[in-house]
Amino acid sequence: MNEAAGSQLPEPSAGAVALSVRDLTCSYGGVQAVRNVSFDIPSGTFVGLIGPNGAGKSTLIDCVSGYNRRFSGKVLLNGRGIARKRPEQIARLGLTRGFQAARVFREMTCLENVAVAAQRPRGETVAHSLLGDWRTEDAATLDRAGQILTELDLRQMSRTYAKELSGGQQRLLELSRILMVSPSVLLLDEPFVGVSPANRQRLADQLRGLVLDRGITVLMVEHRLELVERLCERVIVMAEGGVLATGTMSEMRSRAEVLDAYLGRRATGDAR
Amino acid sequence: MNPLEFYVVTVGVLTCIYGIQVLAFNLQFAYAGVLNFAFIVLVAVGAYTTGMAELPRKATPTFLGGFAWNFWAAIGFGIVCTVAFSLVLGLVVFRNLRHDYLALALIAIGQGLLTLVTNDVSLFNGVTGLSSIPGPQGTLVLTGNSQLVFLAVAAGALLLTLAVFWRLTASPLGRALRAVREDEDALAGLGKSPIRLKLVAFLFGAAAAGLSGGLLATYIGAWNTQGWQLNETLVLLAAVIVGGRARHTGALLGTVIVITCIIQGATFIPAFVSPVVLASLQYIAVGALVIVFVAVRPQGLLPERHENYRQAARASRGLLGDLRGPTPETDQTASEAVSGQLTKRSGT
Repeated sequence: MNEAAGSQLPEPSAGAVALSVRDLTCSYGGVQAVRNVSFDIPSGTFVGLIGPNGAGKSTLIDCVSGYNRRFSGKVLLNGRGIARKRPEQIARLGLTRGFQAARVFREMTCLENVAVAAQRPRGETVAHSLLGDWRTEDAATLDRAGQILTELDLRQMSRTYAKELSGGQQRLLELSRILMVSPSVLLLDEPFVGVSPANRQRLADQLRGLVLDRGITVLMVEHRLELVERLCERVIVMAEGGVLATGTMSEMRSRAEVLDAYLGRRATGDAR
Repeated sequence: MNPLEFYVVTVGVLTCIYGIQVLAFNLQFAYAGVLNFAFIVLVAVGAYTTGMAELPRKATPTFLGGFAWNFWAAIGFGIVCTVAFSLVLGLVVFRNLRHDYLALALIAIGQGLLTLVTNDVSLFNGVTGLSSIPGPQGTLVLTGNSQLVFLAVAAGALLLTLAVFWRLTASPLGRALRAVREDEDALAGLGKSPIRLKLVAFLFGAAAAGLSGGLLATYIGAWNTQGWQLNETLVLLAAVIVGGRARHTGALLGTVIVITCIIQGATFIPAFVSPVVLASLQYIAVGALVIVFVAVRPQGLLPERHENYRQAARASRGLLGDLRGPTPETDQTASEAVSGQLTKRSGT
């Protein structure tokens, strides 16, 4: 079943690299959290980023998405350099991210949470908000936000405050916002944390739909290897700040250095 | 004008002026999440620059100003100066500080400027400050007609501020402002610049603060360092907490309760205790009110509304149906599906 799910994902096209990281190094004080990391992610693929705690995965995500700008190296998004740009600049170029804990706008309704993600609405400029007619455009924005909420089965929650949602629903709301942004590359940092098994299935389906239906390139940090195996075509294994190996999940299971660093021989033995 | 009429008009003027301040503070704090403890400094910038522009040179022999401009030009100058000052301040603090650190830095900046203006008489005449600042009719606002004219001016300024802020916050820009208050990192990830958004709220709030400062200085006819102590900002914060955050009518209600009734109203009633004790009692009452509201009704008397989009939603076909919840058909379909599954199970 897992293999069948994986085979539905598109094959990486050789020429189109959505995200390229070159020699990225990031230090906290004297500790190198990320060391000379380089990899390419082809367009329209779902790639997992795995590794033990402290491997540097989240730091890498922070660096690539602009939330940490104290690093050296290059980051290219669809061939364009984005290293050390601010998060909003990177997001406008087509790369957005999810956070380890769902970050919703708590005191705003679900509909507002999604509508605020609309890209470059004229009603967000000072002149247009004061003097222009933004209502027609905003009606369309709200309409689209409502449709996205319907797609993610959150329609009933449209007028509910985001703070009143469960952890899993907040994840889905975060995903709704991402759909509103419609990025070309999406970075996810442990998106299944705090999600109940029932919602986990829904979330996994939605994430897979991002790649299959919308062609979004996804890089996902995740500790649950069964989810990584099910969703991701390739994985990047990190350990002690560096990239240890890349390949398919089944290939990783046969790599001794990966087993030592992350999977653990006992766990692998169980899996086999 | 008899004493009662004078009292009512005076309280009315001050309510309008402080209403502008609370609306501005509400925009910065409750919409954009900028807890501006230096807000009263912006009012002071407006007051000083309006006064120095309006007073003749002979009235400001040893300190800045003396342009002898008319009231309207001076008010405009005060607003421009306050916005310019806020732009510099905002660009510095918003790029480098957030949340509590931003609030602490703004307290420090406010107190530093207060100390500077208090001790450097070459700026705005130190503790003595500016005096004999004329009103709209070119004379001091004292009694009779000039009071009524000023009431009209202050009420007009309040309505103008309310209209601008309402338009701003009802639009998608207002939605983005509330999102930056909630989580600026998450908003940045959606391609919106938190610094730009906070600066927008800060500058619009500053313009209103400058306006209210100019009006206050010209109404009183004087302005000095006693007018912009830190506790003035805390009273504005109390008005927002009591009235209701991120709602303009809530801010105005808070103004009436906290500032008109407790702070200004009590000042003009016949003295039953000494002025010093009265001032302390006023602040004790405000503090107690804030504690009660934070504990019992933290959303304030008029809670934040999310209905601003109803009108826009109405223009959107089909969406209101979605928002109302499931249609009877949907419910029926769902219940049919459940009963169908149960039948299947019992069949197997």
